[in-house]
Amino acid sequence: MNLQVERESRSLPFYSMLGNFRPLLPYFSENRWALGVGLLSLLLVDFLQLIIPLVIKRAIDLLVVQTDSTESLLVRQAGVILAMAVAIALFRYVWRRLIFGHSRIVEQRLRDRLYAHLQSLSSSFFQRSPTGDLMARAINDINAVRMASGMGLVALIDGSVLGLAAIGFMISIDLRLTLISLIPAPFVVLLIRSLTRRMSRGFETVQKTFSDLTERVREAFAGIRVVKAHHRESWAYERVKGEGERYVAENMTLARTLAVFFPVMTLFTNIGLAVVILLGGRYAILGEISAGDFVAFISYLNLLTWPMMAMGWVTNLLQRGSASMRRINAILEAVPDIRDPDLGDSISRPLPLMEDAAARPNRGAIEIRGLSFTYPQQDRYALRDIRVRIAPSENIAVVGRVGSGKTTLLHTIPRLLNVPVQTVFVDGRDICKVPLALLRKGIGFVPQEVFIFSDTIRNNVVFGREGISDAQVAEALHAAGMLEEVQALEKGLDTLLGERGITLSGGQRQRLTIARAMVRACPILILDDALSMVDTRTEERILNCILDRRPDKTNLIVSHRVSTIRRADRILVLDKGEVVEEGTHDHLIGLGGTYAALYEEQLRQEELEQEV
Amino acid sequence: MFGDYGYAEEGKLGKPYNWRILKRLTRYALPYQKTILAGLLLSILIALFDLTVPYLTKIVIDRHIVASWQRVDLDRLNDPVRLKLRERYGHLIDLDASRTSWYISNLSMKQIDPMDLHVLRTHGALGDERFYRIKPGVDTGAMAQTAIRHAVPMADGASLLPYRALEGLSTKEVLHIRGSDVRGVTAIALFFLFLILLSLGAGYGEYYLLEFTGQRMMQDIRLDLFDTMQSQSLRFFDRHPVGRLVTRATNDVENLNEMFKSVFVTVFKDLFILIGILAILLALNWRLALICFILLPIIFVVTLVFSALAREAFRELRATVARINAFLQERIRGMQIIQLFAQEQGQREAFSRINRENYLAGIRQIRVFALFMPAMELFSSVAVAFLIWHGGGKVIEDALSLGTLVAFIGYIQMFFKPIRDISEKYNIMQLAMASSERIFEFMDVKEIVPPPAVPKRPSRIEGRLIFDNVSFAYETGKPVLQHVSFEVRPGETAAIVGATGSGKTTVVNLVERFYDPDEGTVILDGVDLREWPNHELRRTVGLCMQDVFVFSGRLADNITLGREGMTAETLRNAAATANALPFIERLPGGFDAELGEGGASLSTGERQLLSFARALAGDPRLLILDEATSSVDPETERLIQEAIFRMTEKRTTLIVAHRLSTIRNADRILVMHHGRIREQGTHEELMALGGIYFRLNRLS
Repeated sequence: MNLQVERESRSLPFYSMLGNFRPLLPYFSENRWALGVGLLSLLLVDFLQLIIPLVIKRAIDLLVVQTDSTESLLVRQAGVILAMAVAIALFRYVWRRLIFGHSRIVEQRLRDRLYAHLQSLSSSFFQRSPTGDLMARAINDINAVRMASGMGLVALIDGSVLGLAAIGFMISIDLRLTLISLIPAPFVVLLIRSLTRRMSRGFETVQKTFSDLTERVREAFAGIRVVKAHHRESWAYERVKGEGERYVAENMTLARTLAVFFPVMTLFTNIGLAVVILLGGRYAILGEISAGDFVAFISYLNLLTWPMMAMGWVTNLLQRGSASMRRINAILEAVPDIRDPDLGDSISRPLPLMEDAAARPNRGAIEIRGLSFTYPQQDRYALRDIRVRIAPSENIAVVGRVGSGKTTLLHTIPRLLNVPVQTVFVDGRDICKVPLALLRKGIGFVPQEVFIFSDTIRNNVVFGREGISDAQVAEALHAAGMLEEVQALEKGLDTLLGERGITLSGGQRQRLTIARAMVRACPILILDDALSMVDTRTEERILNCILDRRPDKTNLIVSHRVSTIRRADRILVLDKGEVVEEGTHDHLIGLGGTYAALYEEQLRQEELEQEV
Repeated sequence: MFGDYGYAEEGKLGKPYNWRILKRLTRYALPYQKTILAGLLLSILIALFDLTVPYLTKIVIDRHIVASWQRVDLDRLNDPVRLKLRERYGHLIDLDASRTSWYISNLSMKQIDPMDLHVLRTHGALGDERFYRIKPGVDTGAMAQTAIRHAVPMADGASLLPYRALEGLSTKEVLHIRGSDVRGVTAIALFFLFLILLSLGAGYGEYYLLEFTGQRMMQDIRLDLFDTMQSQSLRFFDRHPVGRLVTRATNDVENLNEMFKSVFVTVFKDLFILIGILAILLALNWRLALICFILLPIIFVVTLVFSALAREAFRELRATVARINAFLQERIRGMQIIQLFAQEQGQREAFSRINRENYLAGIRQIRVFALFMPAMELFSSVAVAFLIWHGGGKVIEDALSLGTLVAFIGYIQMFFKPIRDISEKYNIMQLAMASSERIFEFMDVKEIVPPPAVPKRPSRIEGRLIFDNVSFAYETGKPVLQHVSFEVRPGETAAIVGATGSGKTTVVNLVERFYDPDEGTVILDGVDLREWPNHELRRTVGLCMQDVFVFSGRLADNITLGREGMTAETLRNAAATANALPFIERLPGGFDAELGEGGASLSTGERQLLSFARALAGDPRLLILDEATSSVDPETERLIQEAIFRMTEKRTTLIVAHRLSTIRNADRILVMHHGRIREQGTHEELMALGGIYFRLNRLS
């Protein structure tokens, strides 16, 4: 799937344009009653609106040829108008509420579905799709779909019904007059179409120059040091000015189209009106139509203004909606490359909640049999022929230089990467055969990049898992060496973190993430360089605490710290994706190879850090 | 883009408006007052056209379609009344040839006092029969005698024919008799056509002029803002993320433009139309108009209530969208955590809740609009119903012409659209107000590095740099440099080494005078940096930075940075010295190659070489080299080292080194640790010392 911004093709054939909307069908069909009542109300409003000029006409005709009963008839006409107006207001409320409400339902459901699908996709998807782009689809594109399925629908139905009805009434008054007054219509429609096309091209260009301008301004600020170092403020100013002038110029080009467009919208009605005054006035004088007919005809002509505009508008709304739908479908159709076993192709089905306790890791044995792994679009092995057997309750340290494959190796165990079948086994089961949720619930994982949600401390630790008491949270925080700091906060566990709350230091964030992994006792705990930002003494204390609490469980730890590495039962040394050395600290030092060199280097680094 | 047509419900909001800000904005409008005035005149013209449409229809109906006369039977009145009426309305009355019967036209009728009309009516003096007036000189000889027989000859040579009789005539005959009406209607239609063309032209001109003014004003504001921001000191840029500054200069200015368009264009026109309609209604029939105006306070209150409700609804909707945004952004970034902890279901439910809040806010907004929009239409219909009942009664009493009533109905129906539009535009205005508040907030910022009161020029520029007991902190209480003193003599190459965070880059920042020291002085060629003329200092000091910033545009521009007096030869020499020539010549277009978005991208090593060339092009006396940390391939590394060696030959150089190999040959090495200079000397001296430098060397 290509998530690059696709160019909207403006000349989509109608059926394929509508075809993009197919995923919305269930929402339309679920909501068909409300939608039906809404559309019916819309048509009723249209109908009543068409009747009102007739009632006005009748009143005016009454006044031309007055009789004794004229006055009481007038009162009746006024009453009828009032009653109809109340009915119109009522039905208007109903259709607005139901049809626009429907479009909001479509928006809500589609966004829910999009989010749920995003969650099923693996990190390779997120690596090739920029966050901003995904957000734009979830917000802006879904908005465009909402507009198409609300306003677009209304404009389409309303416009065509009103337009046809108005023309019908005009014909019933006088066919000739109708035909003549409609002569400008096709020309105006053609004109509007071509203007609309020019407009959307213009809008695109303006949008493009606007982002160019934004980029120029951004550049000037991002490169402010270069600019200031060389005293080139005037140059940066000229660059922004030049781009600004281009933006102004493009806007003016667009304005030349828009300046025609808006007056042209009313041109049709006005030319029609001129024709009606010319010919209709003549017919009225000749007595071929009544003065009332003449007035009614003019009202119908005015009624046509909106349908004429609506048609141009509908096309535009549907096209935009369709283009947005295509972008949304691109995500919905992305197949998760890491998914539960035996799910076949029905990926849209929610994850099965198989509480097959047997499939859940419980002892913590890990076995990797000849695993090789290459990231997509890379020709270098990230892991090569890894063969490791880890017994339950072993403490394993993984070491190696940057880029040696440590993180990749750890990521294969909770199946964050799509490993081949029959290569990674947890408790004797091929992880590809274990439901993802069960596998991952058996593993506590603290990734290298800490991630804290803008939520309370408690929610960051509990993280949606049920049945975790405050006492357990406190214990986890204690294990992570963070309990005292949290208790010192005014709101304790309820302290809000992130944008609207307090900002934690790097070390605090790491420790909070550890608490998140520790709150449930998992058979396997994986720490991927999880304490790099705390000082050595604190790290020591935390590790002691963690290991004391997990005497019978498996721990996998990536670290650079000498003290941490030394205490492991076994050390795996990675280089260029391969396990080059394996054994206890003393054994590896004795070998005098990669590990020994790494160890030496690290030791000196730590010494220098101690220097005051 | 298409306006709203009564269905729009999109919009954004900010704080209510503020006159102080409007006044500041007016200053930007002043240079364009003529175009604005012309645009506004054109929009008045268009508004006039809009108002003319129903009026022309009225003329067509009253003068030409239902033009009629009624007989006034004076014999039914007693003498004093007859005399009084004759005196008052003699000029409105047409007499028949025998000068016994009075006839009065429907147009004249409305000039008669309703009380007198009532008298006429109660005495049965006003005939029911309606006559058509055949103008004098219209030959009726050839017409069907039965029809024409009923014609009443008038004193002025015209004749009045009952409408009933007209029906008995052939089309040709009617056309003959009513020729003047047909001609009148034709003339009006042609005039109307002319107005349409005029209005089309005016519409074009208006839109273009106002767009032009808006765009020019926004460009002025944008450039002023950009200039103000750019001249602030680096402390300002430390505090404000680039994204925020960019938003001010682009999006916020764009919001302002939106307001300019809607306020000056739409709201002005809408107000003008409203006032125009009110005036016309008063002129047509002030009594009827005043009665209709009873609705005004109600409409006013309803609109105010609506504005308040709509504002709340918008605010809520925006808040929920922001929440969705924040949630999504966080979850997309933290997706791995969610998947690792198998929390998909819980997170999906959390998202559903936020999404549902957004849905509910949307529904609330729909309700507000679903109440207001139909309510406005309802008012309009109430007014029409009232007009038909009350106004129709007046027509029956002949206190009101039918045409006036039709026009009244037309204007009343027109009256509500501008009100609706203005109440919708209100939101845009609020949003723009919030934007302009933010814009002006930044325009008022004054954090510039103070220029010297009396600039001092050094007697000789040779590149002697002295740090004299310099201390500095970015944030008070967290010193970065503490009592740093050192000297670099002309032509010398000095290197600063130290761990990350030891204060190396801060030394560079102070030499560049991005900041002024809190304590102590930085002296270049005998003059305190604070007394150097700014441009002179920039010419003397050249900087190659750690992160090389590449501007999108031509490669040559990236070296010259628009500096004047740089010939192609200077450029080439600088590139050659910097060892950048080989890679530049490999690029398609060489020096003219486009870099950045859509253009060629440079590798880290190439960027380094580019920044060398950039600094060398100015031929600085003092060169500051903040070495890049990232590693490059051995070949490029060799090119870089060679270039550095060549660059440092002829000038004073201060190198912030990350690779110790670079500085073996430096004349002096300064070892920084925690903001202090801990060791100083040549490579050999420091190695012999066995201190920090010695250990740093062992590490690499």
